[in-house]
Amino acid sequence: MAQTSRQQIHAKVVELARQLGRDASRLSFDEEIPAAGLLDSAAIMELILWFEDENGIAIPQEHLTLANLGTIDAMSAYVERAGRGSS
Amino acid sequence: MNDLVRDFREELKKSIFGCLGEPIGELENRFPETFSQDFEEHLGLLRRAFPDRPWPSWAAEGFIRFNREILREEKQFRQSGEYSARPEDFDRILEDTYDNADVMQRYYLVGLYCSCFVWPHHYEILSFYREAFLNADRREPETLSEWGVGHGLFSLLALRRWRRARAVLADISRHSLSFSEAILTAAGCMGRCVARIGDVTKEPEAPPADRIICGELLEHVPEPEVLLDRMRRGLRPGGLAYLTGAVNAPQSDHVSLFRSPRELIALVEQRGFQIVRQLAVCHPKRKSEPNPPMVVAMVVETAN
Repeated sequence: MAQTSRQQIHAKVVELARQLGRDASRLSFDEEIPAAGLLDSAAIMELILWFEDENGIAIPQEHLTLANLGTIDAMSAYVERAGRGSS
Repeated sequence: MNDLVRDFREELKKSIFGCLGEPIGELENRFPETFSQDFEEHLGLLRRAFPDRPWPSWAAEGFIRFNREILREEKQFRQSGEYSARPEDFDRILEDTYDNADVMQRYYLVGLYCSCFVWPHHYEILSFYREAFLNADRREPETLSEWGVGHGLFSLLALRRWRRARAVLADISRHSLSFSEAILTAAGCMGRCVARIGDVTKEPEAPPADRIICGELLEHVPEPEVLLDRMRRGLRPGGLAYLTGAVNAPQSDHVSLFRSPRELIALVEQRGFQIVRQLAVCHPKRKSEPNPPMVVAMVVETAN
């Protein structure tokens, strides 16, 4: 299963933020995405749907936590664990 | 902020969808004398009605999941311009959704209940319901009927307003009836209610009522015109009905697509109703979109 890189996730966040008229280019990989205020709930959903599609995974409701998916680093780690079957 | 509202909002923030709780603060500013107490009271009722559910996680997670599924449907709708479900899918939806405890009891009904307060346009609808329907300048009703009672909130508000009225609660889902019965029991109103399971577009018609409440049902039925015809016959002369319809508002169990408020209003008038009051709303952050999801609420009477 292909794993999205941190850079790819960042690029997607930048793209979604741009659609809302916001600049996410300076978002760091360990910065909390919801707290940054760059994406609304619809955009976060788009991000998650894209992340699922790109990685061939379905994220259970109970995994939608800040710890698992709140930062680019966390998202990358999550898909690594999913690839090892240990999410 | 009251305790239950605060706890609910803090629980939302544990999720990546914490922003779903932002309207709470905005609504507190917009309705400073009513919103916070209103939401607190109804969260308290939810908690008393379902004491075995983990709190506040059940409500918060239900609300998140309800939103998540709608956002997924909205993405599909933007791409296709059509709802994912069609009228011919109704039987499947009945099995997969309305008869499914894992959906209805776990998140659908509690998510929908919370949306009445947390979605700003739905809270506007609730305010309209209270002002234009419950406080309409008419003789107080003796009988009321809610078609598609769902979580029971609208019947609850009606029974609190009209303290001598008796109600029939109708729904196709036994889970909805169970949920609304729990809410109304916790509120001390269930003694004036009778539950009736079945499809209101197909079941034998009940005696006419002074008031009919039919919120968020038109878009769920394969033949909304049949629903409206039955509603016209189900209303006593001089009675009032409250109904809402969704416009461009995808949801996995929405099968009848109304593309504009005008289309919906025209259908209601064609089926023999006169609109006494109406309100069309969308989420305030989506007003600039070309075809945002909307709700149209109407207080109607039968046309002469």
